[in-house]
Amino acid sequence: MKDIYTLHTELKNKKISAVEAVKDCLSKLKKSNCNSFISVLEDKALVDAQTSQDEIQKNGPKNYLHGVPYSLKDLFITKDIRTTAGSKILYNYIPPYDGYMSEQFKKAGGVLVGKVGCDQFGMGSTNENTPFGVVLNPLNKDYVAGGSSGGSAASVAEGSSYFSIGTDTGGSTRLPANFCGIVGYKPSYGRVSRYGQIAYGSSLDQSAPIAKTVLDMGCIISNITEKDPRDTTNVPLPKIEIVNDLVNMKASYLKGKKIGLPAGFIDACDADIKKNLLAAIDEFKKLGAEMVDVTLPNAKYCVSTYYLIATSEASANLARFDGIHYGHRDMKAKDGIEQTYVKSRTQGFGEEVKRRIILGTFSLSSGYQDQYFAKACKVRRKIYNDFQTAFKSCDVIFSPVCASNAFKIGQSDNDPIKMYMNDLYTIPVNLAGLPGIALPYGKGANQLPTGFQLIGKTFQDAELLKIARAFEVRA
Amino acid sequence: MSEFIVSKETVKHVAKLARLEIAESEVASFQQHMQKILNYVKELDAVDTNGIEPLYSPVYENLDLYYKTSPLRHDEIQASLEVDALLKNAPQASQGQFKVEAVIEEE
Repeated sequence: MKDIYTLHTELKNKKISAVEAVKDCLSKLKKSNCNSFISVLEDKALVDAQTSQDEIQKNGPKNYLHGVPYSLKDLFITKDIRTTAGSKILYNYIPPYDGYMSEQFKKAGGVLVGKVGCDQFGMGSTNENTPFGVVLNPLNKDYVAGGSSGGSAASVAEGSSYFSIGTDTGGSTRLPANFCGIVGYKPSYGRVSRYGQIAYGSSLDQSAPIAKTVLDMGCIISNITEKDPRDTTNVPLPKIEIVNDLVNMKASYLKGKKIGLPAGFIDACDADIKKNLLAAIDEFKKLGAEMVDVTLPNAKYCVSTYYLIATSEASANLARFDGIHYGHRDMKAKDGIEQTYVKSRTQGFGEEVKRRIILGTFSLSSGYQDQYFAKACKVRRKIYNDFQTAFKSCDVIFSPVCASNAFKIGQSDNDPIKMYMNDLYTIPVNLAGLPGIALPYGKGANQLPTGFQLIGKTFQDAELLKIARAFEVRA
Repeated sequence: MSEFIVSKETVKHVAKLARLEIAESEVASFQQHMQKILNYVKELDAVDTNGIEPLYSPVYENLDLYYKTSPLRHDEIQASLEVDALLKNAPQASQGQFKVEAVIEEE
């Protein structure tokens, strides 16, 4: 399937209409049958596409996303459109307002195809933790699309959306994009408003686009980096406008760029992944980039650090689900309001969500907070400092996305630690609030895509995207 | 972190704090899970964090920017959502209010 930029050009030149584009997406969705969507908005999408087409007919596209079909992870609040968070507890929740993402894309004239599947509240890396069913990998349906933004990645890979917005708390966008052979980009923490993004771990969560190319990331990012006063962590920086830079980008941009290679990262990967990572490094060298050895000595503690911090924040964020204001309620609960809370939450949350709430509640509980939560936050600073030191000698850091590529459905490990280790290479980026982008590169032993990750300096998102684009356009 | 042994009582106590109910048949599995994680995170003991301030959010590392975007705003009346629209999602509502089981017992 073509990318956003190509579709935009065709819409501009009247080679295709927005209605034809969305019809094509809907037919690809039916053909693919990967369970990528929780709610498909076929009728609404056709009406919206016609509206956009009328505007384009009159004045041409007003921006790169005008008339472009897209999807949103079901963690993004959409006015009058069911928003489930992939969980039973919000099964029938129809928000009375729009979140930032929904507002921005309405403004841009994008066409929402639907809300896509995910692990409940973004908790998982296989998309298996949801009553809406696992999302299949469009490249091979025996395999997972990855998680938690599995529906986002699958919808772009199958061609039912030109782009999708996922969320990335510990790798939830970069990992599924990588498993499906496309591009996943987590902006710097604070760069994109989280207003209307259902919270999991607030100091780690970031809305994050998935698309076919780095160029497309440029088309998307200018629309979602407008300052939003409703998220107090959203920084007052200008919008990232780099489409022209990316269109004109040449591989020669890489000449003299310093790319950090963290000690020990690659060696721990599966053999086929490692082989492709080394091949990618070779290409960077041939293109004139200088590979620099760096160390991130505390990164190996990231899984422990992350699970204490993320679950602590989750236990607080998910306290709002009480069975009273919205969401699932046990109507038969008796013996006081307390029992309404307990029964409604117990029935509404999935098992993995409960496990994380319990761990988080424990690590914040009286007597244990210093030992667990506060200790983790101290290690978090050490990880942050490691990156600051490493970035003194390089422009970006090269890293695996995951030690393996997509695994078979039902094979994710029962051992929680092994399961959480999937996020070993993506988590440090969230802990330090950095931008990271996962790029496809090569195939693994299972014939499914593999890739690598580039990590940028805080708020140097434009430079990260330029370097990624320079690699993308290499001959 | 000293060795922490997760008992069935720990699981039940924490679940209670979190307003969750763990069925008797599930307690062992939650207990095991929690024990595995607490054993694993003990690795953090090896990290010397003397004199290190906790980092609660990356935002605090960019305070100059953060203060420029002061979340304070003028105290002006702004439109908010209508009560009826908000109550549409309430499992039970009546007369413009959320409805719950009586919380005060009758004599």
